[in-house]
Amino acid sequence: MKLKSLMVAFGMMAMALVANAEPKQATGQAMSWQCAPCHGINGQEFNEAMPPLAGMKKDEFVKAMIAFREGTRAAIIMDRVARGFNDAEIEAMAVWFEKQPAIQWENMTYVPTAGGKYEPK
Amino acid sequence: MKKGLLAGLIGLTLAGSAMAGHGEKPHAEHWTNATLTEKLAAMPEGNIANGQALHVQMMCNSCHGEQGESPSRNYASLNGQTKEYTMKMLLDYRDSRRWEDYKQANIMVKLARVMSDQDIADVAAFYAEQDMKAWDVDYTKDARIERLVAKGNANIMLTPCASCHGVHGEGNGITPAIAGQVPEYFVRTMKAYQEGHRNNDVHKGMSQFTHDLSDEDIKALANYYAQLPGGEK
Amino acid sequence: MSQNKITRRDLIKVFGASAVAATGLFGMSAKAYAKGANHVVIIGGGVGGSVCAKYLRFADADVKITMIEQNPEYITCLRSNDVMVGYHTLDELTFNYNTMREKYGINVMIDQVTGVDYDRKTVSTKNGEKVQYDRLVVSPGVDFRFQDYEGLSKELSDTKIPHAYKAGPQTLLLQKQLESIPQGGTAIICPPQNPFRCPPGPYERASLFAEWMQKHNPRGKVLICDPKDRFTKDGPFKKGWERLYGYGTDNSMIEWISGSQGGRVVGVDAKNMTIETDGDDHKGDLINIIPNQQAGKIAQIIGLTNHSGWCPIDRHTMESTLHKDVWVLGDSSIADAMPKSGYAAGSQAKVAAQAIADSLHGRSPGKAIYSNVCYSLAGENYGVSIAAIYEVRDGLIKPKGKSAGVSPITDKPAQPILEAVYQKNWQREFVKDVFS
Repeated sequence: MKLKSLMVAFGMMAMALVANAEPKQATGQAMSWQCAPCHGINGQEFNEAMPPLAGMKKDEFVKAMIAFREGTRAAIIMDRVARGFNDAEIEAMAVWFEKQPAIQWENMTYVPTAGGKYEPK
Repeated sequence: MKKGLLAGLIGLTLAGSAMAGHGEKPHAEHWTNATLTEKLAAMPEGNIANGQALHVQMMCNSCHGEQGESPSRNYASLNGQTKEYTMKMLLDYRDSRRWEDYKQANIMVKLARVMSDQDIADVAAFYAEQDMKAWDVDYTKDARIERLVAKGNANIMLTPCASCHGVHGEGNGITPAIAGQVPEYFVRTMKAYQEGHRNNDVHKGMSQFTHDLSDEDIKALANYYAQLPGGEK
Repeated sequence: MSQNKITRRDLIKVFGASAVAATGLFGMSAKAYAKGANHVVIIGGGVGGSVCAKYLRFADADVKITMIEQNPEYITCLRSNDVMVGYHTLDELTFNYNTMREKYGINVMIDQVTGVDYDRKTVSTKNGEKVQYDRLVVSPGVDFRFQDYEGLSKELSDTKIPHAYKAGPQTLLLQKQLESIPQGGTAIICPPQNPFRCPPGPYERASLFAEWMQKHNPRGKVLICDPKDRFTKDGPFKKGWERLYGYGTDNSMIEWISGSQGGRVVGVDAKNMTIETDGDDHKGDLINIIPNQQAGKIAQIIGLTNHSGWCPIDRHTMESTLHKDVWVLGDSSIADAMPKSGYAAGSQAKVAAQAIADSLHGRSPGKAIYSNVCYSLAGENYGVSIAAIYEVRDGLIKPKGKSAGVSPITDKPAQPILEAVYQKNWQREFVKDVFS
């Protein structure tokens, strides 16, 4: 009985610890939001330097990030960015981005304005 | 090679904003059949090994993949492309004949400007040597599309795609290989021709051929060609 | 609006009846108009404030959001160095708040905050409004310490010795001064002491001035008088200067005097266009003193700063440690390893937006993750960058994993060219994340 109550007490302690501990990992959404200044809101932007992430197949995202992190894919800046994330975090972002609706490039074309400049449609 | 490139880079950067980069398009004469043929004939013989080194040195691999197979739907695949087409594109970027007004070609314009004719011939030789790869896309055999490819459609003045691009989409000279191309890239290139953003083809052929194609046709063609390499021939 | 929470009628006044009658603006529910809706008030419509407003809308469709900003338009400091050398116009960097209002249902008040009553949870403004809040966000940017330099004042910065470190009229003044430098003349740039907004800004400015001089004033020189011995991206910047401007040779167009070489500026004689430093006096045809900085004035007035002149925050949420239910974002906050940049402010604003939504719904906040990515130009076709992902570790915001780093110095000619193209794409996307 003693052993049992000890175990219960132990279990409760462990649970309390878990409840009070800081979350170990940011949510997929919180991490993905940090990508928006380059890849667009929800990763939906199409531009020549930064590929859209919205709707990207999960495995493709994971493969690209790990290749950047390990230095096996040449990069301008993504190698440095990817080194900030572990496998589980990359997975969480991949899951989130896969769910975002992809916007096709047609919607991103530029149309001429009166001043001869080109603005997003 | 490194030294030459670096000197080129610095010379170019010093030349500074006489170059475009903030919207102004430098002047360049359109190709004629004669000038293009003459230029391509005058290009040096490409060296595959040097081309591979340049592919890394110029960071082409960052966007176009280790062997030229694009790792994302943003960029074109270059593996298996004809030498002539790759050379023409790089010359067009370098000399401002290919200048997308919507600012989606700055990377290629800026990079091509530090490449010599020899550099261009080398990378073109490297890509031509790589195998095409099929994409895993939704494509169920579509008789109408395959008829379009093989027979064209007289009603919309469309000659068969295969008559210029080859029965396997393998390209021929300055007519590009389109088999194994990234489907999203294929679609937006066709749209760019259709909408007149892209006009560096010598006779504006593609803008005529795309004129009456529906979006559905374009998408189906993209998927057809994406899955073609190594598939049913 | 004057006495209490914003009513539906006020919203109709702001957005027009049709917008309010519609089933909702983008991501906004009808509940946000209800009388009892939670109300978040944001002071400052720069990057931090605007991103916070927008992402709070993503995080909570039912919350009322009011942003109070002094100016009807915002000019990004980002790329304002380009304006001085003719690569951009100020118009291209100017944004209004129409999208904030129309797309995200944010009530933007053009007014100036004069004080906050933390007990009554009320913000008062110059126009006599009293706005009640449930959660308050303060994102006021920086304030300049003209008093650190003998002979310098705000008036002088508006007329003769511009800092041009908030984009606007001073940007154009400095541009004019650059163009007026006689052949073979000198431009002096004096960066501030750490910490300050946009750490690469002064060095990018020096680079672009040198590049401009190559074309228009080839015997001209740029002299940087710095109180510091290091600066951000100094490795790749100096390599770029070597390649482009002969840095390190007798004919260099850029000379950098570090703090230990006596580069710190202590005073200015505007009449004789001379600066006094810890070392020699220097005469310039253009003098650009970028003063030392502290938290934006309103943060000081409403007691959010500590002895350092900056605002202490809870690193997990960006909530002020001095006042409850108040968040401080961006340049004004003490964010440890994170630089004071627009990108960092936007990054913090997203963490804060989620934390505010969580606090309103009694949820505990998730793990905070921050980022900073910044591209600068050492020349029009020569970019240098810095990037890092951040997390809270040992009570401080620190780079996560091995993410922190600047552009490698390589012999790949493509690297700086690509960085310069990426810089343009990054700027274009970044402002969309803020204002579109």
